[in-house]
Amino acid sequence: MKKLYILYDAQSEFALRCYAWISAQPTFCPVEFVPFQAPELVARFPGVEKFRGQEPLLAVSGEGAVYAGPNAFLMCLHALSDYQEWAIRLSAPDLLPLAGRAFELFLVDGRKMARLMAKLDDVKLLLLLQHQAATSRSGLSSNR
Amino acid sequence: MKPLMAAAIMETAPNATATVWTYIAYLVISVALTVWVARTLHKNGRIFLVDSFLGNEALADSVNHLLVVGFYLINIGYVALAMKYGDKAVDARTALETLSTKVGLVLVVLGVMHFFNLFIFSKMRRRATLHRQPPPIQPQGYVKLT
Repeated sequence: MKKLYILYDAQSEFALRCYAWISAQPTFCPVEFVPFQAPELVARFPGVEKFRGQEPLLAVSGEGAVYAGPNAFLMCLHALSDYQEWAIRLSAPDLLPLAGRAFELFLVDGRKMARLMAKLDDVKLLLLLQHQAATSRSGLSSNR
Repeated sequence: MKPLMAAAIMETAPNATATVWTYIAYLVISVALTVWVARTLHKNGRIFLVDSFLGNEALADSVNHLLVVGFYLINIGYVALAMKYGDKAVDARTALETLSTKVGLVLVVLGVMHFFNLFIFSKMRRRATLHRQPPPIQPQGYVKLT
Protein backbone atom coordinates (compact mmCIF):
# COMPACT_ATOMS: atom_id res chain seq x y z
CA MET A 1 0.00 0.00 0.00
CA LYS A 2 1.59 3.23 -1.16
CA LYS A 3 -0.90 5.65 0.38
CA LEU A 4 -4.05 5.67 2.49
CA TYR A 5 -6.81 8.24 2.27
CA ILE A 6 -9.05 8.52 5.32
CA LEU A 7 -12.37 10.12 4.52
CA TYR A 8 -14.06 11.28 7.71
CA ASP A 9 -17.17 13.06 8.86
CA ALA A 10 -15.96 16.43 10.12
CA GLN A 11 -19.26 16.84 11.99
CA SER A 12 -18.85 13.66 14.01
CA GLU A 13 -17.09 14.04 17.34
CA PHE A 14 -15.92 10.42 17.17
CA ALA A 15 -14.50 10.86 13.66
CA LEU A 16 -12.65 13.98 14.78
CA ARG A 17 -11.14 12.05 17.70
CA CYS A 18 -10.06 9.33 15.26
CA TYR A 19 -8.51 11.98 13.02
CA ALA A 20 -6.59 13.55 15.92
CA TRP A 21 -5.35 10.20 17.18
CA ILE A 22 -4.29 8.80 13.82
CA SER A 23 -2.53 12.08 12.96
CA ALA A 24 -0.37 11.70 16.06
CA GLN A 25 0.74 8.13 15.23
CA PRO A 26 3.76 7.09 13.17
CA THR A 27 2.67 5.57 9.86
CA PHE A 28 4.52 3.42 7.37
CA CYS A 29 2.86 5.03 4.36
CA PRO A 30 1.56 8.56 3.73
CA VAL A 31 -1.93 9.13 5.15
CA GLU A 32 -4.14 11.91 3.84
CA PHE A 33 -7.33 13.00 5.57
CA VAL A 34 -10.23 14.28 3.50
CA PRO A 35 -13.48 15.36 5.21
CA PHE A 36 -16.76 14.12 3.71
CA GLN A 37 -17.78 17.77 3.60
CA ALA A 38 -14.88 18.75 1.33
CA PRO A 39 -16.21 20.20 -1.96
CA GLU A 40 -13.64 18.25 -4.01
CA LEU A 41 -14.55 14.88 -2.44
CA VAL A 42 -16.77 13.60 -5.27
CA ALA A 43 -14.36 14.83 -7.93
CA ARG A 44 -11.38 13.13 -6.29
CA PHE A 45 -13.17 9.93 -5.28
CA PRO A 46 -15.99 9.47 -7.82
CA GLY A 47 -18.56 6.95 -6.60
CA VAL A 48 -17.35 6.93 -2.98
CA GLU A 49 -20.62 8.40 -1.69
CA LYS A 50 -22.41 5.06 -2.14
CA PHE A 51 -20.10 3.52 0.49
CA ARG A 52 -20.59 6.27 3.03
CA GLY A 53 -23.96 5.46 4.63
CA GLN A 54 -23.73 6.41 8.30
CA GLU A 55 -20.01 5.69 8.54
CA PRO A 56 -17.90 8.07 10.60
CA LEU A 57 -14.96 7.27 8.32
CA LEU A 58 -13.96 5.37 5.20
CA ALA A 59 -10.52 4.22 4.14
CA VAL A 60 -9.41 4.36 0.52
CA SER A 61 -6.11 2.89 -0.54
CA GLY A 62 -3.85 4.58 -3.07
CA GLU A 63 -5.05 1.98 -5.57
CA GLY A 64 -8.69 3.01 -5.09
CA ALA A 65 -9.85 0.13 -2.86
CA VAL A 66 -12.62 1.32 -0.52
CA TYR A 67 -12.99 -0.03 2.99
CA ALA A 68 -16.05 0.77 5.08
CA GLY A 69 -17.34 -0.19 8.55
CA PRO A 70 -14.95 -2.31 10.64
CA ASN A 71 -12.72 -2.78 7.59
CA ALA A 72 -12.05 0.97 7.53
CA PHE A 73 -10.81 0.89 11.13
CA LEU A 74 -8.70 -2.13 10.35
CA MET A 75 -7.11 -0.31 7.42
CA CYS A 76 -6.33 2.67 9.66
CA LEU A 77 -4.57 0.30 12.09
CA HIS A 78 -2.82 -1.40 9.16
CA ALA A 79 -1.27 1.94 8.17
CA LEU A 80 0.03 2.68 11.69
CA SER A 81 3.53 1.40 12.42
CA ASP A 82 2.75 0.56 16.05
CA TYR A 83 -0.65 -1.07 15.47
CA GLN A 84 -0.19 -3.11 12.30
CA GLU A 85 -0.12 -6.36 14.24
CA TRP A 86 -3.50 -5.39 15.69
CA ALA A 87 -4.93 -5.10 12.17
CA ILE A 88 -3.90 -8.71 11.56
CA ARG A 89 -5.25 -9.93 14.90
CA LEU A 90 -8.56 -8.09 14.58
CA SER A 91 -9.11 -9.41 11.06
CA ALA A 92 -10.09 -12.79 12.58
CA PRO A 93 -13.76 -13.50 11.68
CA ASP A 94 -14.98 -13.30 15.31
CA LEU A 95 -13.17 -10.08 16.07
CA LEU A 96 -13.59 -8.25 12.76
CA PRO A 97 -17.13 -6.95 13.45
CA LEU A 98 -15.79 -5.36 16.64
CA ALA A 99 -12.71 -3.73 15.12
CA GLY A 100 -14.31 -0.31 15.58
CA ARG A 101 -14.68 -1.02 19.31
CA ALA A 102 -11.03 -1.93 19.60
CA PHE A 103 -10.23 1.29 17.79
CA GLU A 104 -12.32 3.19 20.34
CA LEU A 105 -10.27 1.67 23.14
CA PHE A 106 -7.04 2.69 21.43
CA LEU A 107 -8.35 6.25 21.24
CA VAL A 108 -8.49 6.37 25.05
CA ASP A 109 -4.87 5.45 25.70
CA GLY A 110 -3.43 3.59 22.74
CA ARG A 111 -0.19 2.15 24.05
CA LYS A 112 -1.55 1.24 27.49
CA MET A 113 -4.71 -0.32 26.03
CA ALA A 114 -2.72 -2.20 23.40
CA ARG A 115 -0.45 -3.65 26.10
CA LEU A 116 -3.44 -4.69 28.23
CA MET A 117 -5.35 -6.14 25.29
CA ALA A 118 -2.30 -8.01 24.03
CA LYS A 119 -2.35 -10.05 27.24
CA LEU A 120 -5.88 -11.32 26.51
CA ASP A 121 -6.59 -14.38 24.43
CA ASP A 122 -9.12 -14.05 21.60
CA VAL A 123 -12.08 -15.21 23.74
CA LYS A 124 -11.39 -12.66 26.48
CA LEU A 125 -10.69 -9.95 23.91
CA LEU A 126 -14.02 -10.71 22.26
CA LEU A 127 -15.79 -10.39 25.63
CA LEU A 128 -14.05 -7.08 26.31
CA LEU A 129 -15.01 -5.68 22.91
CA GLN A 130 -18.61 -6.88 23.31
CA HIS A 131 -18.72 -5.15 26.69
CA GLN A 132 -17.30 -2.02 25.06
CA ALA A 133 -19.99 -2.24 22.35
CA ALA A 134 -22.71 -2.48 25.02
CA THR A 135 -21.47 0.49 27.02
CA SER A 136 -20.07 2.76 24.31
CA ARG A 137 -21.70 6.00 23.29
CA SER A 138 -19.52 6.72 20.29
CA GLY A 139 -22.27 6.43 17.72
CA LEU A 140 -20.82 3.32 16.12
CA SER A 141 -23.51 0.75 15.44
CA SER A 142 -22.53 -2.39 17.32
CA ASN A 143 -21.59 -5.75 15.82
CA ARG A 144 -21.50 -4.58 12.23
CA MET B 1 57.60 -20.49 63.44
CA LYS B 2 58.64 -17.18 62.01
CA PRO B 3 60.36 -18.51 58.87
CA LEU B 4 57.32 -20.74 58.17
CA MET B 5 54.88 -17.80 58.43
CA ALA B 6 57.12 -15.73 56.18
CA ALA B 7 57.15 -18.54 53.63
CA ALA B 8 53.34 -18.80 53.77
CA ILE B 9 52.96 -15.06 53.28
CA MET B 10 55.41 -15.17 50.38
CA GLU B 11 53.35 -17.94 48.74
CA THR B 12 50.08 -15.96 48.83
CA ALA B 13 51.50 -12.51 48.08
CA PRO B 14 50.71 -11.27 44.53
CA ASN B 15 53.50 -11.81 42.11
CA ALA B 16 53.92 -8.57 40.15
CA THR B 17 55.40 -10.23 37.08
CA ALA B 18 52.70 -12.92 36.95
CA THR B 19 49.98 -10.26 37.39
CA VAL B 20 51.35 -8.11 34.57
CA TRP B 21 51.59 -11.09 32.21
CA THR B 22 48.04 -12.12 33.18
CA TYR B 23 46.82 -8.60 32.36
CA ILE B 24 48.64 -8.58 29.04
CA ALA B 25 47.29 -12.01 28.09
CA TYR B 26 43.80 -10.93 29.24
CA LEU B 27 43.89 -7.78 27.12
CA VAL B 28 45.20 -9.53 24.02
CA ILE B 29 42.71 -12.43 24.20
CA SER B 30 39.73 -10.22 25.09
CA VAL B 31 40.37 -7.60 22.41
CA ALA B 32 41.02 -10.31 19.80
CA LEU B 33 37.75 -12.04 20.74
CA THR B 34 35.87 -8.73 20.61
CA VAL B 35 37.26 -7.96 17.15
CA TRP B 36 36.40 -11.47 15.91
CA VAL B 37 32.79 -11.29 17.20
CA ALA B 38 32.34 -7.74 15.87
CA ARG B 39 33.58 -8.76 12.40
CA THR B 40 31.33 -11.82 12.40
CA LEU B 41 28.33 -9.70 13.34
CA HIS B 42 29.24 -7.05 10.80
CA LYS B 43 29.62 -9.58 8.00
CA ASN B 44 26.64 -11.83 8.74
CA GLY B 45 24.30 -9.18 10.13
CA ARG B 46 24.36 -7.10 6.95
CA ILE B 47 21.88 -9.28 5.07
CA PHE B 48 19.40 -9.03 7.99
CA LEU B 49 19.74 -5.26 8.01
CA VAL B 50 19.36 -4.89 4.24
CA ASP B 51 16.16 -6.92 4.48
CA SER B 52 14.98 -4.91 7.50
CA PHE B 53 15.53 -1.63 5.67
CA LEU B 54 13.56 -2.83 2.62
CA GLY B 55 16.65 -3.22 0.44
CA ASN B 56 18.12 0.20 1.27
CA GLU B 57 21.76 -0.96 1.29
CA ALA B 58 23.27 2.44 2.07
CA LEU B 59 21.14 2.81 5.20
CA ALA B 60 21.75 -0.81 6.23
CA ASP B 61 25.53 -0.37 5.87
CA SER B 62 25.43 2.83 7.88
CA VAL B 63 23.44 1.21 10.72
CA ASN B 64 25.67 -1.87 10.57
CA HIS B 65 28.76 0.29 10.97
CA LEU B 66 27.22 2.24 13.86
CA LEU B 67 26.25 -1.01 15.59
CA VAL B 68 29.82 -2.28 15.32
CA VAL B 69 31.16 0.97 16.78
CA GLY B 70 28.74 0.64 19.72
CA PHE B 71 29.72 -3.01 20.12
CA TYR B 72 33.43 -2.11 20.29
CA LEU B 73 32.82 0.70 22.76
CA ILE B 74 30.78 -1.45 25.14
CA ASN B 75 33.01 -4.52 25.00
CA ILE B 76 36.41 -2.87 25.08
CA GLY B 77 35.09 -0.53 27.77
CA TYR B 78 34.04 -3.54 29.83
CA VAL B 79 37.40 -5.29 29.26
CA ALA B 80 39.28 -2.18 30.40
CA LEU B 81 37.07 -1.65 33.46
CA ALA B 82 37.18 -5.30 34.55
CA MET B 83 40.96 -5.63 34.26
CA LYS B 84 41.90 -4.77 37.83
CA TYR B 85 39.11 -6.77 39.51
CA GLY B 86 39.48 -10.35 40.70
CA ASP B 87 42.25 -12.38 42.36
CA LYS B 88 45.85 -11.49 41.73
CA ALA B 89 48.22 -14.10 40.33
CA VAL B 90 50.86 -15.47 42.70
CA ASP B 91 52.12 -18.30 40.51
CA ALA B 92 51.47 -19.94 37.15
CA ARG B 93 48.42 -21.86 38.41
CA THR B 94 46.63 -18.81 39.88
CA ALA B 95 47.63 -16.77 36.82
CA LEU B 96 45.85 -19.25 34.55
CA GLU B 97 42.82 -19.40 36.86
CA THR B 98 42.55 -15.62 36.97
CA LEU B 99 43.00 -15.37 33.21
CA SER B 100 40.37 -18.05 32.65
CA THR B 101 37.84 -16.29 34.91
CA LYS B 102 38.41 -12.91 33.29
CA VAL B 103 38.26 -14.21 29.72
CA GLY B 104 35.21 -16.29 30.65
CA LEU B 105 33.40 -13.16 31.85
CA VAL B 106 34.31 -11.35 28.62
CA LEU B 107 32.91 -14.30 26.64
CA VAL B 108 29.66 -14.14 28.61
CA VAL B 109 29.39 -10.38 27.98
CA LEU B 110 30.09 -10.94 24.27
CA GLY B 111 27.45 -13.68 24.19
CA VAL B 112 24.86 -11.41 25.83
CA MET B 113 25.71 -8.61 23.38
CA HIS B 114 25.51 -11.05 20.47
CA PHE B 115 22.04 -12.27 21.43
CA PHE B 116 20.93 -8.69 22.11
CA ASN B 117 22.04 -7.76 18.57
CA LEU B 118 20.20 -10.77 17.14
CA PHE B 119 17.08 -9.76 19.09
CA ILE B 120 17.24 -6.21 17.70
CA PHE B 121 17.88 -7.47 14.14
CA SER B 122 15.01 -9.94 14.24
CA LYS B 123 12.67 -7.31 15.71
CA MET B 124 13.56 -4.86 12.95
CA ARG B 125 13.18 -7.53 10.31
CA ARG B 126 9.80 -8.61 11.68
CA ARG B 127 8.54 -5.04 11.57
CA ALA B 128 9.82 -4.57 8.01
CA THR B 129 8.15 -7.83 6.96
CA LEU B 130 4.87 -6.62 8.46
CA HIS B 131 5.06 -3.39 6.48
CA ARG B 132 5.30 -5.33 3.25
CA GLN B 133 2.22 -7.42 3.95
CA PRO B 134 -0.96 -6.69 2.01
CA PRO B 135 -4.04 -5.49 3.92
CA PRO B 136 -5.52 -8.35 5.97
CA ILE B 137 -9.06 -7.73 4.64
CA GLN B 138 -10.79 -7.33 1.32
CA PRO B 139 -12.20 -3.96 0.20
CA GLN B 140 -15.93 -3.44 -0.20
CA GLY B 141 -15.41 -1.85 -3.60
CA TYR B 142 -13.23 0.34 -5.78
CA VAL B 143 -13.25 3.93 -6.92
CA LYS B 144 -11.16 5.47 -9.62
CA LEU B 145 -8.96 8.10 -8.02
CA THR B 146 -8.50 11.30 -9.96
